[in-house]
Amino acid sequence: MIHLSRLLHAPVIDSQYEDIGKLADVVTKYDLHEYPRVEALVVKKGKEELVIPWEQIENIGEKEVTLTVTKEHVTPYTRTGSYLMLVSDVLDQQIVDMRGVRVVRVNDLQLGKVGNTFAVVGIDVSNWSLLRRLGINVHAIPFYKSSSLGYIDWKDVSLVGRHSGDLRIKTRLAEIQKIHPADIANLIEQLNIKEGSRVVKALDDETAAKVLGEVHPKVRNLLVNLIGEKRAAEIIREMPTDEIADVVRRMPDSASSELLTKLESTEQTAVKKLSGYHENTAGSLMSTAFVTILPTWTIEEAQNYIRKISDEFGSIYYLYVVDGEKHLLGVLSVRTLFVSPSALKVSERMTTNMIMLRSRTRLSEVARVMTKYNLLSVAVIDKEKRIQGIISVDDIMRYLVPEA
Amino acid sequence: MVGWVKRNWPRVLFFLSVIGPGIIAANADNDAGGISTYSVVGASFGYSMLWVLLLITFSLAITQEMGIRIGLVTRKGLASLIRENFGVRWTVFAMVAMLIANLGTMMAEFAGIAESLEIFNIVKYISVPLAGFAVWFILYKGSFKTAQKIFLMFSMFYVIYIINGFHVHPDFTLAAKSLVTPTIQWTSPFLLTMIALIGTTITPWGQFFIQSYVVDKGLGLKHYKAEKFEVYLGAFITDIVSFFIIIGCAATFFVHGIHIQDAKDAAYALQPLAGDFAKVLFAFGLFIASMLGAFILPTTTAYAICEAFGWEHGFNTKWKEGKFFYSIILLSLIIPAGVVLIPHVPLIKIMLWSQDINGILLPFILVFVIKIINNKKIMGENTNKKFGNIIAWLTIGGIIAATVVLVISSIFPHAK
Repeated sequence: MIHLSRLLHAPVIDSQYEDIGKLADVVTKYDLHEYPRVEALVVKKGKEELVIPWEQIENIGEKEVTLTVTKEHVTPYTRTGSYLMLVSDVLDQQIVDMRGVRVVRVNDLQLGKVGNTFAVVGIDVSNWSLLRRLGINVHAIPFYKSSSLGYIDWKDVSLVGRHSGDLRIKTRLAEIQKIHPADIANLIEQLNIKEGSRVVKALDDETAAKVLGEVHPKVRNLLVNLIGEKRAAEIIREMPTDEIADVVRRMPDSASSELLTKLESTEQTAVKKLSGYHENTAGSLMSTAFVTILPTWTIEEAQNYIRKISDEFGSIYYLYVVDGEKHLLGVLSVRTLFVSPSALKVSERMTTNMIMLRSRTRLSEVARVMTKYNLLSVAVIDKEKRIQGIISVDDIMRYLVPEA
Repeated sequence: MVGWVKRNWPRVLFFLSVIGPGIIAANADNDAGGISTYSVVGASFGYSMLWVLLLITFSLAITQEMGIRIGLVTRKGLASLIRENFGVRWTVFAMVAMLIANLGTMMAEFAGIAESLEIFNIVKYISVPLAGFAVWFILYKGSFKTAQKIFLMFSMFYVIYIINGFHVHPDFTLAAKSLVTPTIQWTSPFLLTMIALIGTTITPWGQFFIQSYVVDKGLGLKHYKAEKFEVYLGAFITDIVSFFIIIGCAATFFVHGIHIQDAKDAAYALQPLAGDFAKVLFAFGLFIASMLGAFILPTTTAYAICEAFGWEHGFNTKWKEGKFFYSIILLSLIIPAGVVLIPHVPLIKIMLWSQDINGILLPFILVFVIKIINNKKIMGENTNKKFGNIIAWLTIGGIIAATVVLVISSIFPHAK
């Protein structure tokens, strides 16, 4: 294996021992599931540039690169399709390390034999490779340790920056989809906003919605701006109502009204109502996705109901027992539902002295109450005791640890 | 007026939403070294150097405009772009240049803190460590947003100098005439002070700072016009402040033939001439100016270096991951503070020396800026127009020429 930085600027010698220039860049074939194989070398002499196909290269090393033909017999290589220039597209650029889930800068590339081709096998992000690039012989430094720490296999990286070849964004970023949405959100915050928006664009709507729910509101507003109204609306439609309300609340008015028109009318009303609550109050954080049941149902009926509607909810901790006008009568935990005899009525098993909060309760108070009574979620009611929404423990955690 | 505001309200709001980078960056140029330099300019040479100030106002506006344009188009910091387009060697070169200039400037800031508080009878062995700790604490515990608000609030204090400028009744007719009448004295003190004047107004860190600022603020090309206006406004406001410091000192010291060497002298000497009020104002202004610089410089340095070398940065990274980031910030507080704390160290020389270093290193950074802004691959259709390039190169040429003169005059200090 050899480092790209060692090959660069090596003199290129043709078959008649004539110096035809210096190695300036390497053209590789880009394919999502393969190591990029070297297709041609870019040789520069002054302003003159010659692209020599790999077949006409006899040998490549740090001292020199030799050709099998004379300069006149070189068949210039034309770049088409998905190609990747190692120096101008990869070296010194930022990329995503998908295993470490972080954004790193490429300090060097490692090339090696893959089958019977010569290809990029990994990238070097160690600080030692910075010294190597400066022409310092790192092996001579006493405390130098060659470790695999700064080495990332090519298959674990994803390109996010600009590129000269015709690489579809989707193909380059498709792999990112495998990462947890919360981690994608962190990556996006580390990238510059242009690259971040490319990542969002490459995701499917559902993942993108989860990611947008996790990124910092300021970054999110910028992303929504950059990915375009149409796509943004498609993504936002996939979010739960309370998150849409949160997005809308933190957006400038002009932008949010545009987005609202793209939603279905029932959802529009819900979002408008939710986004009207003040920041840092229970109303601003609550979710309108909660399960309500009637007191007259049997436990079995309630169980069957949960089976039927379970898919529509992210998580269910409690069932809220209401009358026809949504007045909150009691709660039933999923555990109680599970262990109670199926013939009993809901009203016989529900807890009636439950904790309830008003929509204008401050979030710090919400956190205090939930901690004190060990609640996984808590109901938010209006002054007539009608249930408005619920706040679950993950919502309040987000408020308490915003930077996670 | 009311009608105008009503009609243009959306536009006014839009402008207010982007305000910050241009004004703060430009105002931060009036830091400790800056205020000392302006005082010396006015006290030693009266109104005769004002024409230089007028010229560098244009240079400041144009170099800062290039910075925001690159930031708005690429949404990347200057350090990132240097790394991505010029490779590791040039990056190391640029970063070392910036680091040296910034450490020098930080020394000037701490020297300014020491001098200004000495007027209030606080010795530097107390004031400097306390100031350093305060900067660290606010940066570490607060957010970028709080810091930004503090910066903007600090900028308001520069009004002090304008008030002071009026207070001492300068000769405004002569000042106006001097703005447009180039005069030069071929003596080394004059040339040296002139270079310090350039070096304190246009700085390497200023280029990094303003670009990162628009990127961090998430501004895009649609904000260009508003940002450009703000940058021009910032350059104008900054140099208005400089103008008033210069004429303020010219009207008091120069006409009375009092020789001063730095801002502290200026503050003391103002007392008999303009009363206690002027002295306190001057000292307080110097303190604020030094603190403002002390906030911006370590952060700007650390962001740029970490960005260039791919090290994790930002105040919400953990210590282990952000070890380079935090180390750079701490070192750029501790080293300069340590130097200033050496007993009997000549604080005045430190201030002047730092302005000269800035002046000498500035052209290198500006060349990177010009190369980037003229690269179609990076800037698309937003590359420099011919006119902009001419002014930019003239600025660089002017600074290089001035620097050459400076070097020669420092080798032959008594040459006339």
